[in-house]
Amino acid sequence: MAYSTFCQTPNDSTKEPMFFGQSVNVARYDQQKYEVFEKLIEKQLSFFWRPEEVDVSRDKIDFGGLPDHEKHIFLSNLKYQTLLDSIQGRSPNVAFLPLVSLPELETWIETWSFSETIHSRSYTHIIRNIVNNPSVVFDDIVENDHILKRAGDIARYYDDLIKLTQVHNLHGSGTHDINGEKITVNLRILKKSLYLCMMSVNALEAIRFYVSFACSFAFAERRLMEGNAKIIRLIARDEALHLNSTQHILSLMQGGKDDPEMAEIAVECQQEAYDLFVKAAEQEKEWAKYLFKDGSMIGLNEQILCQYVEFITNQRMKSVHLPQPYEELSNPLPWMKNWLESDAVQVAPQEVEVSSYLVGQIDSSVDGDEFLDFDL
Amino acid sequence: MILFDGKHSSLLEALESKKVKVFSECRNGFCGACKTTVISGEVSYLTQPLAELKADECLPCCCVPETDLNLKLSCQGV
Repeated sequence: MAYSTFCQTPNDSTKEPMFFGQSVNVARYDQQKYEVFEKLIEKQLSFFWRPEEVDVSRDKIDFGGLPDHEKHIFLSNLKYQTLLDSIQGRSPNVAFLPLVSLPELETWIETWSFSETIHSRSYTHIIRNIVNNPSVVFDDIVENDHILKRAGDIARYYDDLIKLTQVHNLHGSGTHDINGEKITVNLRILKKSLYLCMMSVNALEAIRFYVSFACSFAFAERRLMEGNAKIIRLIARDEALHLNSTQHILSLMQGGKDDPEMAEIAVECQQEAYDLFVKAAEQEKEWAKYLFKDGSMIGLNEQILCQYVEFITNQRMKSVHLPQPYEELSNPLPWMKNWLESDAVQVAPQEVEVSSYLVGQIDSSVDGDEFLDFDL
Repeated sequence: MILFDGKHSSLLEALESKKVKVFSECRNGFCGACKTTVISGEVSYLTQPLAELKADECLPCCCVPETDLNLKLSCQGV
């Protein structure tokens, strides 16, 4: 099943599974196995935005006025988000594209990953504006232990999948001696690696991002760093879509209709998936401790943020059919929903209210009554 | 018991106006946060939801009731 950029064997892609079928040849969208990915692509394209559209110039003044421990909270979150989107801007492409076998899913993965690169560009836009030397912020990302610790766990699942795919592609199934390392690979091992990787991506988009969203919106609740909050709001809107897509993919895998072996693997990996989510949540709680090490901010402290992590982890795990690890509690940050509501997102200055507009939409239905009060 | 009188643009708004707390995020049918189990009754969608729904689930943020509805709601404040 070696990968080819254009597999010349004719096939009906609607009869292929999502992954590990015949590589996609013709990028056609007139027939689709899972229409949801087409809808996600359309939605994501209608969400297109550019960081430069958002004016962040006031943020520099606000940032200057923040006490040091709040500056630490703000910058640390930005660093962490920069890391997350650096990973997400490339990894879905590198890891999933060689394995995918449906054109609509292939294009969704590319559209998804592309939107993450816009997020990465927006961090440069924000950071350039608030500090004189952006390198101070960016360079710390690969030096800060608190960030690196989590980076390792996020990248691990992707790296594992990519390595196994490469070995399988070159050497096929079996145990291979590669640079002195024994690597056993077969289709089932690959599928397992993909399933866990998808779970880890889901946890990333579902839990990890929301900790820094909460902090950004907590600043904006006090009418501080509002330019940043506007950008984060656009990012959060995109992330909700990405989250939806990984939930869909996981559900299709668990359902078994797409690939019966995947459903077996889902059952087999349930504990591992559960542990992976709990580990992500616990890491985020540790991060909250690090954020607030020198003091809390008005409206948010370590305890509330940790409760929010637990609350949101329960919600997200329910969505991917995993048991909930934490005690059921009420949403500790009810104001988050005002910021996550997508129709309140402002895209361009003239588009105050509606975010999901489509460019070039025209209403071509004109009723005869519309001319009644016309006088010539 | 909540009366849906058409003054609210969605089932979610009607529930919220009666202080029934439902966890919601995007409120536009694509994040799936407000997913609620329908015990009986039917809803119709204002915009087609993008989130995955089982046969007995609805997304209150983008639907209105068609018939009398019996929903499985959490009694805890969410």
